[in-house]
Amino acid sequence: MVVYQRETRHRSVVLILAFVSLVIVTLDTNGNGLIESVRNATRDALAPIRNGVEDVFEPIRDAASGVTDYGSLKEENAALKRKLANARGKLNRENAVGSKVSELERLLDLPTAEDATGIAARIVSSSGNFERTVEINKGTGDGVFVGQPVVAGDGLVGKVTRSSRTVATVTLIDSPGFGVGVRLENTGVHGLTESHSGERNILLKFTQIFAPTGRQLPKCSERASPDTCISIGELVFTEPTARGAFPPDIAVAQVSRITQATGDLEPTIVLTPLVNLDDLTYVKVLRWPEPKA
Amino acid sequence: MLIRRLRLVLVVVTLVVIETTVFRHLTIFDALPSLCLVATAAVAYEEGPQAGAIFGFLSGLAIDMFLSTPLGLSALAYLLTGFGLGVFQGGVVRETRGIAPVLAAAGGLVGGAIFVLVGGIAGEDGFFTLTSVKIVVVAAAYDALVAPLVFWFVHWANHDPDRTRGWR
Repeated sequence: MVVYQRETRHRSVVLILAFVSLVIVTLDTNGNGLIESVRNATRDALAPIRNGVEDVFEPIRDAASGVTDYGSLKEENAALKRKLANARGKLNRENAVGSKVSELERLLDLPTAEDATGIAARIVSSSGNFERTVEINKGTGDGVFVGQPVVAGDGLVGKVTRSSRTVATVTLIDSPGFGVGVRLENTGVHGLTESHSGERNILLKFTQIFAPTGRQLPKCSERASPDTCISIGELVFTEPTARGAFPPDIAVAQVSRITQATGDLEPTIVLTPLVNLDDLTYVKVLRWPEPKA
Repeated sequence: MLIRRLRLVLVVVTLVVIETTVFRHLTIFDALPSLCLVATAAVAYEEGPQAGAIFGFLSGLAIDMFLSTPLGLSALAYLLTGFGLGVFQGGVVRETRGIAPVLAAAGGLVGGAIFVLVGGIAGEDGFFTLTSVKIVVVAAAYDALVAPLVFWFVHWANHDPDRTRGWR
């Protein structure tokens, strides 16, 4: 009898807590201000401890990776030097036409990435197993608000999706359900990125037909002009739109694979983000749109 | 009693901080261990279903604060896992050396599966995929790997020589 009563009580406790959990899940899914406030307060309260742990752990991690990754770091260094040389050459070529573009942008009053000032932030923690987010050590107190774009040296990282007083959450561009309006480097054809769970690469879906041919862009063959097709290694940039979520012309990713199975109407274009999203340390949050004085 | 509760709070805070900072650099096949879930398994093993359920609920809620998934999702998954493992240990498991990794892996699989299932139903993107299954399995194996340390930590926090068995 006593055992029966005890087991009934156990079950009641579990049922009540399970019900409470489901209520909280439902409220949070529908966006509840109170839950958001509690969450932000908790994150703010633990922020100094987490920053401290990250500070302590960083040198240990660097030392360990310095020892274990020495070989690959040497190779990476050589590859980066080659890339830098190529980039300098490209920059010089683009400078030739850049002044004209800037002049036209000013005439049209188009916003550019250079218009946005940034807030440097450090990654203090990452997400759980089923999400692609990182937490940065700057929040609303530093001017970081929901919706602001986040970049690193190489290109776009993601967008701020939650912000408390001292910390903010950034959803990465390869997070499922996250799409970025982009344009291809050579043809300027517009598309939308599409991410899938567990995939580090993202897919490019076209939102625009290539006007001169009235068809989807084909993969470049050896003799084709890059202005009429898609080539491996081609970059994609954020597209210029009025009141866009991101400033225009931020590098997002590069085309790493193009496949088209028999019967498919359009090719599958796989993009690799330019920024290594698994190894972020510092990022810049762009004040976008830039607040007007 | 109060000291023991404070120690258990310390366990939760410490594990949440470590899981969300240090372990972000130590992923295996893109999976992290769920330290609070392992701690829940440890409490359920030591104290039984009710204690496992309550600890699971509270520690799950704590880790939920730092995730982007809906609040309460981990709380529900850990609560049910804690209760299940508590019932299991009461009926089947006896004190055995090396039981920690087994319980942690079982908890990881059950908790991960509940998390994915309820999260998917709640409308989270990309939960019902093969990748989720892979992550649940790898994370459960990782849980088993860290289990001896977490079980030891929970045992230290839960140890109270002046009380009889029971977690109230």
